[in-house]
Amino acid sequence: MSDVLASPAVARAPRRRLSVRASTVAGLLILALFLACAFAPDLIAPYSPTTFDFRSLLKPPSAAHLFGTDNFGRDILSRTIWAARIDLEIAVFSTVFAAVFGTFAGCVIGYVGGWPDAIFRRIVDVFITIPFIVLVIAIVAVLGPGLNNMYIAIGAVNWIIYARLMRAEIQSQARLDYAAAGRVMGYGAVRIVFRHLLPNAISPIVVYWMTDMALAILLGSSLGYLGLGAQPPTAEWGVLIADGKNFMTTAWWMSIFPGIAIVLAGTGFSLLGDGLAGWLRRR
Amino acid sequence: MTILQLDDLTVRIGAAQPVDGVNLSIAASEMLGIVGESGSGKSLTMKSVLRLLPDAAKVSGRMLWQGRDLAALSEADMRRVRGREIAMIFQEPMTALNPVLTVGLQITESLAAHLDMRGAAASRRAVELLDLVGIPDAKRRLGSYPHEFSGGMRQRVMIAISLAAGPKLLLADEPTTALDVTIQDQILKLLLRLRDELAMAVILVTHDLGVVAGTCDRVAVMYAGRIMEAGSVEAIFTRPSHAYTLGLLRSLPGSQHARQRLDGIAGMPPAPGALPPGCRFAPRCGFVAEACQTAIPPLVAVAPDQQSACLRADDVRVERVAA
Repeated sequence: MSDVLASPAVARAPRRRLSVRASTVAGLLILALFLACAFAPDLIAPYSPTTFDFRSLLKPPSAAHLFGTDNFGRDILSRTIWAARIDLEIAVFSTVFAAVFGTFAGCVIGYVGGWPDAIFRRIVDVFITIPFIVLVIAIVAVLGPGLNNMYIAIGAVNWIIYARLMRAEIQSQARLDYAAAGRVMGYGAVRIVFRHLLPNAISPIVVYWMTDMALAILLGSSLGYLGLGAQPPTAEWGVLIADGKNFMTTAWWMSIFPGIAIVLAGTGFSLLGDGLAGWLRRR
Repeated sequence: MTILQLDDLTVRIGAAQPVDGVNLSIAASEMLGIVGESGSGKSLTMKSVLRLLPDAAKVSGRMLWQGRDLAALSEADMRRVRGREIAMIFQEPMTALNPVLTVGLQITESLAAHLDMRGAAASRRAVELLDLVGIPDAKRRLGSYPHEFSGGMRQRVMIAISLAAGPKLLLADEPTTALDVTIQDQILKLLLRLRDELAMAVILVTHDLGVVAGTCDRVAVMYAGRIMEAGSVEAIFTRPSHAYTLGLLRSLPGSQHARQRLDGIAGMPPAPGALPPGCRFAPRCGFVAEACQTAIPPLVAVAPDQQSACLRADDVRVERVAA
């Protein structure tokens, strides 16, 4: 009997090697650069971002001021570097509540179903009829301009997107056999959802979160440009672009360099998101 | 000693009645086979025992488990029965394991949830369980993920997880259907050995009569939601007393001479929503009499170890002997 039961030894599968694509590395490098700027702008920036220098107004890029100066003689490079701190803060703060709460809500709604799901679907219907940015602008306009109110406004709207994503993912995972196996084992709903389904359903959320951080920077910059987000003299990329708009024809460097920073940061998050997506899919 | 007894178990989904008045019992350490075609209600019966059916399915009848009626238990009590007293394994070991947790974690989770066993003791027990189901090098494999195992090995892991809390009854829902024949044989032998070593009853749901013949003590034949015939494996295979059982046995390869066409059963099983008024098998039956088409024949004892729901049981038996 035992010789029948003994099965051929299974060689242990070699540990997965963490192979990373070049584009992912590029994304990581870009984000590392901005993170360095965000954490130690005083060490990297050559000048103070707020000190006026009336001897060098609106100077084009030169060896002394690589990105040129603005209409108050402030160094654009330094302001762009300091702005990284605010913009990364925007990227994280305006998405973290939405991602965490939305994931949680999506788990509960997706697993419970029934009337909570019906109510949630109606909420989604209402929200998708109104453009996201209009909704956010409306909320900020009511609460008053400023970064904190902007975080509140984005979080209040944005969690729905995460919840919708998570709900669908949980629903499809809950139909799989291992979820049934969990019920067969007598596990409670909380254990099944958060320990078994959630880890299997989380990867689209992680990937979307990366993309969403790029979108949040764009949104934050847009609101900053409109005067609803970060307030001058705080250096924020959107604010910097807005500062330069009156000098667009004479001092192009005022708006271009912060603009490039936005594009770069967005690209960094997107590349990292793509890389994560590929890596999570391979698992 | 009977540990599980189903009395008149019926499952209604809308107007359809895919399980209709099933009476079934299983004794401690017994291996009971349930055979039937796809859609005959075998899996539904198993799932209704563990109350795993969605709310749309209405279950009636009694399910006496060691003196308690499972149908009347609260959901909290039912959860203590699931996994701890009655466990279940599935057809697809590929998908029944959580792909992102190591098998070690999945076993120790069950130990923690049911026996409050944690830490080093739980790890030791997990290794013992993997050893028990014949997984070589168990200690090292605790850290492996399900995708690192073959199909047969995964089914063994699944069995190890379901054994963790020491259940008294294992419901095995076509556990070998997705596996190839040599692995199937290993898993069935494993189930038999576990039955003996752990004094655990096993209900083996299958559509393969050959599997039943090789492993089970008793067998129940289901068709269109009803039990057609039940009894000891020996009785059913040597003296089938239901026209449907006879048809099944005749359609087994190897029961005739070589290079002959198999005798299938003509026709298709009835749809659950459009059942014939009498015997469910009557429209396809070669023995059909007028009485078969008017009332559903009851399951009655035809021998000490055999019950049949066939009005022509005696003629079926004669036919079998003659063949």
